[in-house]
This record gives sequence, structure tokens and C-alpha cells, in this order.
Amino acid sequence: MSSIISIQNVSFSYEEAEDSAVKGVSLEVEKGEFLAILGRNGSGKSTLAKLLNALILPTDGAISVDGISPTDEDSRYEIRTRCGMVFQNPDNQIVSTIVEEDCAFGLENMGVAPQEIRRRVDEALARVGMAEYALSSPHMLSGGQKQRVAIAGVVAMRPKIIVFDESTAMLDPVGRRDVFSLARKLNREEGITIVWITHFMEEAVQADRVAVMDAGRLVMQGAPREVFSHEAEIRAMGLDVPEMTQLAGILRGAGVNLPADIMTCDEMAVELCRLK
Amino acid sequence: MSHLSHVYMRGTPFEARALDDVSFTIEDGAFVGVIGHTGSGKSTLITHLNALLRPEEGRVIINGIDTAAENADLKTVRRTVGLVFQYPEYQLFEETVKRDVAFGPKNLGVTGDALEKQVENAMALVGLDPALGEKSPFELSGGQKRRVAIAGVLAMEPQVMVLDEPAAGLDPAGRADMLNLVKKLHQAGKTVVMVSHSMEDVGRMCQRLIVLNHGKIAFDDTPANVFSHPRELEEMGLDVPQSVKLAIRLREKGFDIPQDVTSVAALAEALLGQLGKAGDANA
Repeated sequence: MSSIISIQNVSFSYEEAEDSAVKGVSLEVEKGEFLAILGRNGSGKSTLAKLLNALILPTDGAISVDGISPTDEDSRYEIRTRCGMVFQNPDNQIVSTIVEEDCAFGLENMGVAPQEIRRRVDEALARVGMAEYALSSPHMLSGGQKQRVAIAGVVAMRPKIIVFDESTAMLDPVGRRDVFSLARKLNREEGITIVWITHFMEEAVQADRVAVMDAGRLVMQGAPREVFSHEAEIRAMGLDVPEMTQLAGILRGAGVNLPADIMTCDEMAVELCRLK
Repeated sequence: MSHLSHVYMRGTPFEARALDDVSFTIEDGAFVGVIGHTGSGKSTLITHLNALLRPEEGRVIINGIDTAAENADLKTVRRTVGLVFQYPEYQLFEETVKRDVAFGPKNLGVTGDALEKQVENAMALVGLDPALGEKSPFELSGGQKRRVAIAGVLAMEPQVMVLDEPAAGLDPAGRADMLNLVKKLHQAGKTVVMVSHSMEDVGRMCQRLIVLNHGKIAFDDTPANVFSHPRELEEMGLDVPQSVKLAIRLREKGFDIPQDVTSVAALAEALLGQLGKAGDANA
């Protein structure tokens, strides 16, 4: 496996802040990986996301995205076309009054030829399941549908990586599920590398790997099962573990012989039936 | 509330019946969860509770006041029912925290020491350090800003607090803090109506759930009874908590799990009762 994103000892400080938002983070993201990033508010997750997209540049350390370092305007621009970004608030990402125009916005900025824009926008809207809304007004859509339009706009640019910065935080359960499974589909079927920043543990459980940020540092990384088995540390960082891991923790504490790394209902049911 | 219906944009191509013949009664001191997918009518429903919307069909009676009546005392209704919208921190606007919290009661005509006292109490109830009173609300963290917004509603000393997804968008620690605050409001004697998307939260916290689907009440019952319809809930785009899912599976396998289990803690207790020995033997 080869890295598509390489972060080496990266730090970043906002101008007005005393403390660095990101401190000496080193992280490799594999090509085709679905990486979840967890961390409480202010832990540096979103700053890391902006660094990946070259929206901001490291104060210290080196970063490379698909082999490109953000050394000048051209390379930063190139990074942004290869690494798309979907933000938290669906309403802040819509720029146009018609869905397909919104979706074409990035391509127009890139100077893509009109016929090619037409083709890519149709294709992207179909891929996110929003083709029938191409001529709708975004404000008539639900939050989940708006996010899918935002994703279509990114997909139309044919990125190799998409960073989702809490893109499901403001959605209802159905919207959340839709957007998450869309990201998984893009990952599995199109091989797009996904960096998925979230507060929802049940989403993180389904990632290939989980990285945990705390106070600007990368403090844990590993398979979800591995990471969530450290319930006490995870909680100390203001995070949660999945409900089934919580239940396993309580039962283990009371002397029941269960593995520490249970994450799902199925696993818990199997283990409990074994004990009965 | 009896036979309430509400139609948006009547007579336009966008006409939509947001509420359709909704009836229920909420007793003083209750803790009610309102759930339903986006567009099910939750927001329309709660905006009727403090007469921001007045019934077009049906009636809403708050503490004896019929909000549809022409001469209804809406000021009293709004003083009785405090409404906290989603992401209420976006509505802060004053220069200091104190002034923002004081805005509501001041509009209701409260002045002087009484105003001071109400603001102080509200800030204490939401756990805001009095020292923050002179700060700009915009210097605070997201969770604190939300507390300021909630304090602003509490400062009007409503009997009923209606909160639309109070924990939305917060991180896990912030969520837990916010939900504890809601619990505290209920313990302090407020009637609480909480809109939520989290089945886990309402299953753990509420005594009663009202489930809306396409503007109609689909269920109005205890969490345990509502969650005993997992298939219907799924068809409505809703879910049941993981603990309830597991409880259903385990009952099928012959475990004895009481029907009223709707939280991880309750499930753990039920399991420990019958697993204790097997677990120990294996330990």
C-alpha cells in the first residue's frame, strides 16, 4: 500500500492564538483508505482538514497530497482539485439557486469546457442520487439532500481524496445514513480515499482506521476495534465509545467474561449467548 | 392540543400539510420527547406551543388560554412556554452575556432588582459562571454560547421548556453536558418537551414519546412501548436504540429482558441478574 497523504511533524498556529492548533502531527493516509478522525471540539481536527486541502499551510513540518507539496499557488490549486472537501453546514456550501448550477461551480472555476461540464455534472448528480433534482432549487431540499449536492460538486471535479469535516453533524438520522453510505460507496466503488471527521462513534466503527486527536496532537490510531477497546482513555478525551462497547465495559466491570473489543449488536448477542 | 392541523403556503404549488389532526395533552411536570424524521412536522408542532404559530384548524390550549382566540393573552402564553430553537446560539446579539440573557424578561416588562435576580438565576441554572456576565457572548465557546441562549429563555421563568434538538452539533462531552442540563431543568420542576433525533437520548431520558410521521401522531406512549415497534419506526425513517435492538435479539434467544429496558444501563442491570454466575464461572 502506498500513502496518498503524508503528514510529517506538522504544526499549525492561528495568527491570533497563543497555542498551536495542531502540534507535531505525523500521519500517513493510504491510497483507497477510509480513515475516520475523532476528537473533541478544539482538538485540531478541522485545522488538520484545512491543511489537507491547502486552505492553510503548515507553520512547521511537511505535507504532501497525492505527491504534491503546497509550495506555491499552482501546487495549492492542484491539491484542491485532487482533494475535495465537504463541510458541516449544508447551507454554507450552496452558492447557486439551481442544483445543477451549484454542482457546476467548481468546474467552471477550473475552466472546464461547457460540454464536459454538462457531462460531469449529470454524471455526478446521478452518482449521488440527485439527478431528478438537477433543476430544483437547493433551498427546497432537505439537509441530507443539500449535502449530497455539495458532494456531487466535489465528485464532479474527480478528486482522488475527499475530506468530510463533520458533514453529518447537522443532519437527521436518515440524512446522516444517506451521506455516510454515499461516502462509503465512493470509497469502495470508485476507490476515492476518504478522510471522515466525525463525532458519531457508530460511523467511526465502520472506517478502516480511526485516528484520535486531542489538544492538537494525534494521540491514538488503529483499527476501530483496537481504538475503542481503550474506553477509559477515549472517555478522558471527552469522546464516547459505541453503545455496545459501553455495555461490554459495564458487564466486564461486574466480572462477566467478555472481550473488550465488542462494537456491534451482533457481536454482543453472539458473546452473550455463548455465556448463557 | 386538539385536532390541530397546519398548512404551509396554502393555495400555492408548494402547499404542504405540516400537521394533520394532531391531539394530545401534556401534564404539568412531564418530560416528553418528540421524534420524527425531517419534515414530519416537529418544528411546526413546537412553534404552536408558544403561539408563534396559531392554529388554523383545531385548538391549542396552554394553561387554559386558547391561542386561536382573537383576544388570547399571547404574552402570558409566551411567558409560560419557553421555546429554544435549534442552534439558538446563532440568535445571540447583545454586547454582553448579561444583556443578552436579560433581553427576554425586559421585553416582558421586568426591571430593576427583579430583572437582575432573574438573570442571575437563569445563568446559575445553566451553569454559567457569573464572571462571564460582562463578556461578549461571541467570545465564548459553542457550548457556552448555547447555554447563554438557553439562559435567555429561562430568564423569563417559563413553566414549560420546549427545546428543539438542544444537543445538535455538539461533541460527545458537550452533548452529555447539555443533556444533563435538560435533565436538571426537569428536576427543577419545569415541564420539558425535547425534540431529538437521538433515540438513545430520548430512550434514556424521557417518560413519554410522541412520534410524528407526515404530520400525524404515529405513537404517543412510553419509550419502551414505542420502541416495541421497530419495523414501523424504521419505515418512518427512525430507529430504535442499540440497547433495544440487542434486547429484542436476546429475548428471541431465551434471555429474560424486561420490556421496559430502553437504555444501556437498564440492559446491563437486566443481564447481570442472569449472567452473573455464568460470567463468574468463566472468569
